Amino acid sequence: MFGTARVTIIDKNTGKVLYDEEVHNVILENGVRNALYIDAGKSYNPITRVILYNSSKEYVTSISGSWGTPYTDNNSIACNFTATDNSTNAYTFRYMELDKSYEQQPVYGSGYFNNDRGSNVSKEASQTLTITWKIANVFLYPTE
Amino acid sequence: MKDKIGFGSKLTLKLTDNNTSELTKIETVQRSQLENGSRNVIYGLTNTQTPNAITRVIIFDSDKNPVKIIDGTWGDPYVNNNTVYIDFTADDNSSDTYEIKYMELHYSYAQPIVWGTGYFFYKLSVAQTKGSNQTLSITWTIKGDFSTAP
Repeated sequence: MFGTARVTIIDKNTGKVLYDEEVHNVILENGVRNALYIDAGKSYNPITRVILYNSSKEYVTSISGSWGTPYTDNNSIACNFTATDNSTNAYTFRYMELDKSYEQQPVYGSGYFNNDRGSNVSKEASQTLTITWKIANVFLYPTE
Repeated sequence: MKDKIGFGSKLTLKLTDNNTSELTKIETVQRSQLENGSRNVIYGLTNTQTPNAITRVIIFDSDKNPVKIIDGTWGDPYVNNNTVYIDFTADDNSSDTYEIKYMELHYSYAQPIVWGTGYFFYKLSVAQTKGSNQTLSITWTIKGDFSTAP
């Protein structure tokens, strides 16, 4: 499985795009486990939110999102997750993880997919953060 | 970083003579997830549609006709060297005789089986025949590679 995560930050007043970058992600152990659970009919948990961590890998915040319709894309099945934070909260983050919904505070590295922005990204009170995270799973056509 | 790695499988197929215990064994490793298998995983991870669990292996002959359906069971997942594995096992100790050329892992359903619509696929390089005095044992291991968080 693979994917990319795009982050945009837009000024609410001017509409100016202040940050817009797309970065590849990696799938973590819990992501693979859940993918295999699905085929085996065991208990599994769908992805419902993105978790933001700072450069010290400390929890910053989580944002719930929604999925579009799965589609075929170049020998893979893909699906896009979109989450938006237009609150007045201000924070700085570097790492993001897609994860299931749960009550306790998540632990870095326990998510399904991880994304390293490479450097700090800051959201101010007057800005809207939008995350578009694509996950995809490649497949083969049967051999003749 | 593991990127664009599909879910693969390791297949072990054994034909054992019921009288002499003579064994024919085939084993391989390959990436083998089909479109429906990939779609099923995405359904489950994203909750966009109810996924279907794999419950059976379908055996096709050289003409791609379904010749046998064998229900199986799953073990527990296990991890080795940044890969998660889970084993599906299915046995046929009936007196049925049939040719084995293609195999697919599939979910349980009532309508006719169509070749190529399964979740995982395997093609034997040389067709095998199960005799009436033989037991067929299949262990189909699905595996997925993962990365550690940076």
